[in-house]
Amino acid sequence: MSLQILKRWAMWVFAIGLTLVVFATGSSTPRKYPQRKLVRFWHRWQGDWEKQVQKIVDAFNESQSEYEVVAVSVPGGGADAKFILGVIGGDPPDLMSMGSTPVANMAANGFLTPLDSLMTPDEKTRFFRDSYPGIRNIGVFHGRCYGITIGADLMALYVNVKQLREAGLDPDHFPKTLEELEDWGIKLNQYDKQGNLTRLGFLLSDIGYVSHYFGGGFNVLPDGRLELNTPQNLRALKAIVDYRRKIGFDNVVRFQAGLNDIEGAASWAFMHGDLSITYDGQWRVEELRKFAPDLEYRVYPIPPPAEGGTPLGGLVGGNYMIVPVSGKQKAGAWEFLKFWTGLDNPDRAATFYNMGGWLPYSPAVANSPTFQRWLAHDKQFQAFLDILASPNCKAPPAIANLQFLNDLITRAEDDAEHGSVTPEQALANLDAKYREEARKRRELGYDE
Amino acid sequence: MPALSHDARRNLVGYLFISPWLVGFLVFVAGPFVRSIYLSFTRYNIVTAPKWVGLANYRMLLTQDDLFWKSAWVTVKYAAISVPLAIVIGVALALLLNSNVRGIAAFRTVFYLPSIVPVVATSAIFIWILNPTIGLVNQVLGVFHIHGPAWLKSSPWAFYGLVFMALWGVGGSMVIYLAGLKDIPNYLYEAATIDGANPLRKLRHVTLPMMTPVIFFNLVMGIIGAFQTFTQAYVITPDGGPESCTYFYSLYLYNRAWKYLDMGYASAMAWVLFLVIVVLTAAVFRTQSRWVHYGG
Amino acid sequence: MTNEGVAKLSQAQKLGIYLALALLSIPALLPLLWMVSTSFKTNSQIFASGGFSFKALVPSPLIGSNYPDALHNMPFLLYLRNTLLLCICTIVGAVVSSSIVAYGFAKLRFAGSKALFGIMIATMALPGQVTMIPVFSLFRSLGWYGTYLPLIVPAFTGSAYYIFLLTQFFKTIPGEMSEAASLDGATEWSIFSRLILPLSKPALATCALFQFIGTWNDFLGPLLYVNDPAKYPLGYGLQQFVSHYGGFYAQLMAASTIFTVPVIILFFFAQKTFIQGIATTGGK
Repeated sequence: MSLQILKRWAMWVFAIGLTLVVFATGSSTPRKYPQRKLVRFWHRWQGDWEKQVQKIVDAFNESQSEYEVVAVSVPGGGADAKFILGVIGGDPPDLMSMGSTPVANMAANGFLTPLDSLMTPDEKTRFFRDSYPGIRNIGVFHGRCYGITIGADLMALYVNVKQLREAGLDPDHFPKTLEELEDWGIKLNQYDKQGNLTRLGFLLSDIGYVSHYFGGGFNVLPDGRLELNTPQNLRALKAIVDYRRKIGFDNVVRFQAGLNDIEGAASWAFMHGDLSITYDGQWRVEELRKFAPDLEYRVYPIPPPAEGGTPLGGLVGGNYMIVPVSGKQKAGAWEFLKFWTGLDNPDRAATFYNMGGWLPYSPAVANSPTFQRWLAHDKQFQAFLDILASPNCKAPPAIANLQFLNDLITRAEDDAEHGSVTPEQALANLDAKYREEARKRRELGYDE
Repeated sequence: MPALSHDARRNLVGYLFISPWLVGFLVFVAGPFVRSIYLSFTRYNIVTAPKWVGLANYRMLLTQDDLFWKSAWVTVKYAAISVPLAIVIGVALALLLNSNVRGIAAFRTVFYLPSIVPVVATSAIFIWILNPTIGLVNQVLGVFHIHGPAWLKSSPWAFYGLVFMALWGVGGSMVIYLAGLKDIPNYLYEAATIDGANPLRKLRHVTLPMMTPVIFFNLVMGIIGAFQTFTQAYVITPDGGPESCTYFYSLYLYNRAWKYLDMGYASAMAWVLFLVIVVLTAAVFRTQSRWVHYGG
Repeated sequence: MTNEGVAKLSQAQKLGIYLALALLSIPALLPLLWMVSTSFKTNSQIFASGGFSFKALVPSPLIGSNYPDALHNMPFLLYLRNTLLLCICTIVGAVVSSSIVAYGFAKLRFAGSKALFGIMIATMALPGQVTMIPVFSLFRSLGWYGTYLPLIVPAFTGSAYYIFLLTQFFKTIPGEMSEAASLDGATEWSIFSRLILPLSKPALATCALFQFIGTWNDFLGPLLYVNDPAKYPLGYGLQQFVSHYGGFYAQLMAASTIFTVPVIILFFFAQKTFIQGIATTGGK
């Protein structure tokens, strides 16, 4: 019986506590500089990176007295929907960081402000002259620049020095060809008694990227045609499939499933020694410095195949900063963006790039004293800068239906790896499906 | 002044009672529904105004899109397997949790837990449990010398992994079954005991028939839900899974709508799904009289 | 007090039941156990290679810092207040309106009731993604963008799910009682409020529970309609730990645990109410 009374009391206490909490606290986010012009900035960085972004915002606000940037972090799940709804809802933010997906589509339909229209002629000249070619070309659609990427991403090889030495390989004389690299990979693989992989030496994957090393890629030619089923891409796909077959596709899948690493967390399999040579983005350099400072490693660009390959190839990805056409404070948005990129003050901007381990937009930033100081203890980052500066470093194709194409590419690679179709068939299907989709879109009246 | 006729008054009272829903429907639901039907006959990429294309979306969907058929098949298979399973397990669990033993409240909480844990955590756990080398399932199978498949990374096991996951949510329906069980009036059991019935007969002739209203509810909601399955597939296999074996219809719809910005086409997809669900549900409703037993 | 439908059990039967329950509990508890155990580890501990086994469920060393970290990373009390506000409003709205409508469909006969019921069920058959934009535009034109109104007002118009559920329950209440009452001159409303509602406490409480959990976990609604960080509810706050751009898994689990525990407590204590059998009164 007393339990009953106890429960009843508990419920009352709970109810009263509830009421108190509900009506106790205050309401809206106050503004720091209410007399200034408001610039609303939406982005998708979370956790630690959100804090870094906030530091940049604060730095901007303190550096001038006309605008106040208020940053809102929109969490991943429905971010696409929210961004899009924000734009079409007529009340968009002034500056947004958006994934590459809808940008070309929106640009094609007049929803974005061409950023070059916000620049002064001098700024425009400087920007297009000074920026890395790969970065300059991102966000360009039909000749106008609609997005500038602050968080550009590139991939290269991370090499575990200790494991290489143990296998009798010299980390200072890295393979110059892809074939040699594959041999190294096989030497570095380790298996357990049942024949399951316990350590992966090297694995070639992601045809969207790798195809560039074979002189291919899914590019838009100057005449507007799209290269899909080319001999170079086929070679790339075959290499991916063959390599997996050598190790055993099932084996690879099981091993990778066991890695279970989550982006951004201190969980990267390379840090734990499960991968000897792996292929990842430039932000890992900063992460390695923070979470595994004792791990000895090197960064090398992927060596091209012995024949017909392109060295220092790469595909730049990343966030686009865009300014919606219906934003109210475009000038302020541009000022903030300019501040962040470092167009006027490369040295100051270097700090920003270094915080997140992001790629700088121009060599000027990379060569600034602050950046060089950071580079001194993140030496491995240099490899990424080399790739960025190479002419073989490309931007993704500027087509409106990019996401559809990407999905087709992923599926083609997946099917070929599983062996349900041959690489030739996979690419042929890819080509056919894409053309079919393009035809359907034309029929429906989309103009690309 | 003539009073309202009996019928008219009855209608008025009826409509008054359902007015909250009716108003809500007319204001918040009907408009968007009609707009969505309209959109399905247009090409609409969200950022520009829709343009009329007639039946083109439907035609392309049904005759030129093999992914449509693939995702439809995945979804139908899923519904056909998971809905009956969920009902059987849900009812069985509820019966078990209806036992008059001490501490049953704690057990009920335990079984309801999976429905409360955030999707993020549940997905991570499933990825762990279904891990090919070190996951729980394969370790258990290993005890019986069975080489477990690479679950979420291989076809068709990823699909069965998701079915397995669906059963986790059984706690929600279990609560409803429990409420239904408690609603069964005592005198029926008393009468059965007097008739000399053993527990199994009581189950067959008293418990289950009296539970049919809630079973019916969960069946209908199960069908509606299963055909619209989205979240688990989106979180665990956003690319549609190995060889597209977990490419659910709703996931394809989502991609069409928000990834490819092909909202007109996606609307057509939604309305095709709508028709299928409505037809199925209507069929189930029609069988009501044969097996659902209302006390009132 | 005990429901006689549940037979008195022998010792052996009880043992059997406990055994079955204990065995089945293991898979049911796994998600929670894993979540809680992860919340006491460091980020690097979690993914120590090859480290998923039953042993891994016990964190060693056990660190408690994730909890204060998680709380520090978001204005917990503020989000909690917002969530509670939303929960209370939506629960009241949903339960009250759904029960009224359900009574209409279940117990009253009026022209077109079957058709309207069918339409109501049908409204659940259309995937919400394609109505998201028209609904959004609707709320915008009403001027409700940026407020809680899009999240609260629809709750007061009844939800098809609860209406359907309650209809099923109301239909199991024998008609003789209502007939007797109306012969005595009672209005439909008083039959509803004085007779049917008290008899339906379990079902009503179930709806309240589900609505609570729904609102507590809701993330998409606030995401779309709320722009001011001071108005974010907990579900939104939790998402911020999930990351594509740098997050902390251990803190996410700590935050998830904090997020889940109140619901568990609520369910445990409130069980009696909605699984409670109805008192047997004359005529039933």
